[in-house]
Amino acid sequence: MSTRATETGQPGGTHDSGVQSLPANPRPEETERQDGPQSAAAAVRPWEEERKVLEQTLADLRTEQQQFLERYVGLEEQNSALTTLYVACQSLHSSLDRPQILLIAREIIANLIGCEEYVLFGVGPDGWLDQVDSFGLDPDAYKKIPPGAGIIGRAVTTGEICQNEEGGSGATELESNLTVCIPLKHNGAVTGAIALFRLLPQKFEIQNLDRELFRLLETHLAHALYCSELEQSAGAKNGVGA
Amino acid sequence: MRNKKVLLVDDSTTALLMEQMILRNRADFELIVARDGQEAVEKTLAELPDLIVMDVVMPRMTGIEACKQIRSQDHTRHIPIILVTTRGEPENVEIGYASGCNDYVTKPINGAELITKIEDLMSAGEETTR
Repeated sequence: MSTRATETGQPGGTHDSGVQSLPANPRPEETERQDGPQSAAAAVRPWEEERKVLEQTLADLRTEQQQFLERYVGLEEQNSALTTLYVACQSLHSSLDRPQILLIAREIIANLIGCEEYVLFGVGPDGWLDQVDSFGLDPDAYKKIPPGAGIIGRAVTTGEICQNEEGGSGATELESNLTVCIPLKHNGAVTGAIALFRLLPQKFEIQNLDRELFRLLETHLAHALYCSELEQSAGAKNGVGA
Repeated sequence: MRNKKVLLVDDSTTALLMEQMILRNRADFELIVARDGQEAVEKTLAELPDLIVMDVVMPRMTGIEACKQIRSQDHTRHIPIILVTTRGEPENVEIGYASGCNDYVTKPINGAELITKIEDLMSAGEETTR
């Protein structure tokens, strides 16, 4: 921050007493009348200097204001992202009922990511991907996926989130509208995958927050589904719901 | 000065939680919740909220129908309504405006955008009543 005019002792500054000081020199027009143009120019100089200092102070304040504004916008975005992640996490762990968890997963994908075409797979004992849930697509087309097939298979094999890059290779015919495939991992092992197809029309691209949500789903949805299975088997053992 | 009442209407628990989280930090909002259009109309008549944020696709009664019903009542027709739509295409937005909504936001909801629209509509309402 530059030195303010009041701190420089320039004309127009303020004394410690808080009383507005007067310029040390007489007003330029008075000087011109008395001593001619040269004296007038000399009289104007302190005013010019003060004007420059004030202009610099104003420019510094504007820069600082812009920096605060940018920081505020950044914090708002961060706050919004954290809220979204909190809501997703809180919702996923709010139930042990499997149909309820599947509904919540569907809501997160639709409301927080912005996609209404998806398939959720579980890894079967034979290594094939079996459809667990789907929305917005023909469910019969995605009943079973062989191990390692296409982008979905690659996500499961590598345990990495795989995006369907434009012009990229390896997509099967069924994956032409696929946007991204997220493997579901429990204790490091891949237990399933979520294939997200077309995003909503107003959603043009995958953003950083979406990537955070993918990572959250990767583990938290897998955990939630695992817990629901435990709950189901415990309920069956105890004869609940029989 | 009394808190502003905002009625949030959505059948999705996740969407409602998201909206509540966005608006909860605003100390001057009192939040009321409804899970479908029918309940929204009933709560609007009973609570007379200062503003309504309502999903479009809901069971029992859609947000569009609820919007029309709220606009058809003398003592609720002035309440600002923001529709939350999944589809942001012009034809869908047009249907929303035709039903009487004041503004709309698209999913996924952007917190800053929703707050700005709520504050704009509320301050516009205050200026009208002044």
